[in-house]
Amino acid sequence: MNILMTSVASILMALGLLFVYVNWKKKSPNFKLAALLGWLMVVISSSLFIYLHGKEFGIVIALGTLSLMAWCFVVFNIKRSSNAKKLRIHNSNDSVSSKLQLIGMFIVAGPINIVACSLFSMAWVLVLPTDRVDQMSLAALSFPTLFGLVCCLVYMYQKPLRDMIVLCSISIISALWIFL
Amino acid sequence: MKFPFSKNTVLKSTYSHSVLGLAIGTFMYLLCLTGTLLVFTEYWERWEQPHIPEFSEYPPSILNVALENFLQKVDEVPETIYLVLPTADLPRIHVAGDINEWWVDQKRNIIEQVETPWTELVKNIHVYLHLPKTIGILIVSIIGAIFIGLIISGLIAHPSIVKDAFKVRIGGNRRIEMLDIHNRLSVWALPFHLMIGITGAFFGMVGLLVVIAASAFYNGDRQALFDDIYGSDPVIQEAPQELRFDIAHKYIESQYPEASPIYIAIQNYGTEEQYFEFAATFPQTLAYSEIFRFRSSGEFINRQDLIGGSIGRQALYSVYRLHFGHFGNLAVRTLYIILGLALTIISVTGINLWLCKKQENWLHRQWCALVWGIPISLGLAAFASLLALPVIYLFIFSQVICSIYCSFSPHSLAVKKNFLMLILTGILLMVSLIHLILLFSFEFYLSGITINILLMFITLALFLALTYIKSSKVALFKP
Repeated sequence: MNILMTSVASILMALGLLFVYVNWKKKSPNFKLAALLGWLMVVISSSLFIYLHGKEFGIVIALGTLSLMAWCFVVFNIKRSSNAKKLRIHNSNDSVSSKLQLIGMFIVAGPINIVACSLFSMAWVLVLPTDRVDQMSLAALSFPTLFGLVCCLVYMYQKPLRDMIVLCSISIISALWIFL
Repeated sequence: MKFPFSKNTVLKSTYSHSVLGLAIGTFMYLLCLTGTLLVFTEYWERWEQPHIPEFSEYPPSILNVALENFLQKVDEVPETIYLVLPTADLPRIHVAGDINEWWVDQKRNIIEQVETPWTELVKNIHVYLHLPKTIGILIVSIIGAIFIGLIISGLIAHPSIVKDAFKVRIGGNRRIEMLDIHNRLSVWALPFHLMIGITGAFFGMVGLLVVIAASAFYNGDRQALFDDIYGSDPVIQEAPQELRFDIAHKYIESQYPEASPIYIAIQNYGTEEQYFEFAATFPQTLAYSEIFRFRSSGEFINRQDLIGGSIGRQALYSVYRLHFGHFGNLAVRTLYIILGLALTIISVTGINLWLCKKQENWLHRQWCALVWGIPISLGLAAFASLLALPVIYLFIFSQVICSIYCSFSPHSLAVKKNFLMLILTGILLMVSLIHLILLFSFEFYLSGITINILLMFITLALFLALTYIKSSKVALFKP
């Protein structure tokens, strides 16, 4: 029964992605419905996986299967070209000031960021009306996410001094919130 | 559908993605490759010691005798002794405590020490980057967190995410080729990558939160914090007596027929505080296991409520299985292997994209040495493990040789790459053949067959890739 249901879920997933692929390939508004139907089938297939394997495993298996099947369509769509174009070569000469800026950003995105994000993740969960265990687990999972996000933003906006001030302020406010 | 970010934001995000990617790309490659291999941890352990008897049915009395035999082997009684029970993935019993770990056969004899140097090497690289443990796990976790930043910046830097959803252009501009492979692999597996990043970063970074939370809410007492999260240990005061695993086993069987015991932990053996814990997995739950506590007499004390307790506790206890794919059947592990391999390719193509824009220099050569040298070194280390040679030295030595070859060989980079690929193919074939010979010279337990099939499959894939390269007139072995 399980094998049958898994096969049905996998076929539904493949069909759903096929509809999405056809819509993407045709790029016509007439195929919008096909895409909608495709995503609907993907959702139904995921629900089947969740029903079969439990919500935790089911979600992981459904997402993994989605990736694998999508890659099959990507392989199917490979375009080969024989005329290799010569690549443009860039010779970068970073100035001293840009190197200094990079070092500054590293300090902000690294040590300062880790302190700020650890304190902030601990602080924000305290406002949630849940017990300590749930608060801690939320903090533990949000800490790396926040750290990664801030790393990305620091290097995006390249203003280490401003970011340092903001992160230090967040650290101080969060520490006060936690310890007082 | 309109992309929600301006062109300027996209450019800034591309820069951020490049800097972060370059900062951790090499480590990412190392971590992804070793992580992919570790999905099959138990299978590698079986592969390294294929002659150990395998069985799934055993009388509970075997455990008491195995414990007694173990205690005769050790100088000092460890605080916690583990009796690891057979599972579908590792159908063997072993007894462990502190640094001692021994396999047990059906006749209750302790037969051989657990010695899996290759698996340990791969674990050590993946979890600690082979650095001292405290600093190593923190660095690996920070890399995991930066990886989350890479996912976010990559998403913002990709305005044509829908337009190019299925597009891959091969054979033309090398940069476009790399870009398409990088983007298609990363976009479609984005939720998986996010999960791997968050769960990977958790292991080391949670230590910082523990320090903050313990000093803020528990007067610096970290044990009190752990007790709150994972449940406190029972306090037992009674004269030590024989451990009745059979009664405890029957209790679990009758009360929780769906539970599958995975290990027994004996706490404070031989003291008045002696008790034991049965850990058991439950179907369709992601939390690693439930823990049932018993007195020495087999009387049930309590359960830790790791399954069915608060969502937070379950989430924290599920991170390990979720990260390594240690749940479900072989199909789930295969899924993790493919997705892990894709992440490894993403790490390589990311750095390749940056190198494409540069004039060929030592960086190109060293990157080639690293990308192909690491699998070669791991393959040679596996070979060393089979012949009981020092694994780590051979790993480092072969990596250095690859690096020297790529630096000083007069051949073009493409030739060097193809040569290293050929070497890797040969090593994998040699390792799997030698293992098969060893396997047939012992009593046949089917151990390691899964791994040998996997190795043969990779060998075949590499061979086909080399044949394709040759047929597409890429100069092989020509200067």
